[in-house]
Amino acid sequence: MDGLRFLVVDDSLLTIKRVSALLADLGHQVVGTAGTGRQAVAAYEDCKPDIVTMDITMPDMNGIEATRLIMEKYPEARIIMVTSHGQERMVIDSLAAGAKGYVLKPIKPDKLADMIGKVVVTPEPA
Amino acid sequence: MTKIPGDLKFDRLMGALLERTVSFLGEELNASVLKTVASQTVASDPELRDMTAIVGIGGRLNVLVALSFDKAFAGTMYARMSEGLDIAPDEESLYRRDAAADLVNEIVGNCAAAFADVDEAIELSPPIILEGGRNIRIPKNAEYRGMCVKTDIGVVDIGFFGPREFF
Repeated sequence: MDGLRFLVVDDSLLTIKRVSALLADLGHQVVGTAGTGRQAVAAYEDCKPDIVTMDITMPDMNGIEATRLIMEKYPEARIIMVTSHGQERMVIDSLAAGAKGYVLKPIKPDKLADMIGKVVVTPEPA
Repeated sequence: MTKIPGDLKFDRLMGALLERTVSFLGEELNASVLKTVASQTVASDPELRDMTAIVGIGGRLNVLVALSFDKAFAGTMYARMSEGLDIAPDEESLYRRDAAADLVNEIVGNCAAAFADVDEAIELSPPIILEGGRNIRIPKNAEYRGMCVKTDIGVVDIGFFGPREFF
């Protein structure tokens, strides 16, 4: 599971740096970043990462809509929602959009590592 | 502003927000709360501290939450949230604003789960950051009420802007 390529999506540059540092500590590589949902869709097409970490509340287009658009075009995409929004409805909507997992901020390194492990073993659609 | 649900008024929302703020400060910033002081409801424009992060809570609620930090709190918050990160000096002001935005996002976002019985799909707006002590103009027919939280790293005010019936 070492050395996976990540796209980190968040409207906070500080969060992007913090998530990137956590991923580097876990042995992974950040190959792209985006600050809005619309940028995330474009960045996915550019860098084709192994996994996306996706915020929900963002200007321009939210993370659930961006997930839906990415999954429509790339059903093999693996997206983990990383968000502060704690409502169950958001989890349900994220999974319905195609996300493979959900990690609540503030991010705990062990929780993120566990979720990456679960997402990696999730079989890809045929 | 829309009608506030009768079972979700200021006291309940402030209670949840204060509880989450205290735990967040301890867990994430290693800060301790020394004292909390409640303010009166005011219809005039409240005075903000050095840096303020405002989030809109949508859905059935439709109120604004403001966390306003004094200079000492904002400085320590940034130092602890950016610890170990490589940030260029000329980008620091940008990251200071993001630290305030992240804090209000995480505190208010985490609280949303506590109100699923009233609104299972609470919408949160991206935060707005205001810098410099100033008065903020409150919307017509709205009021402000808050709580001052004194900590060992500085002071933060938690405040709500909403219609009178919210308070």
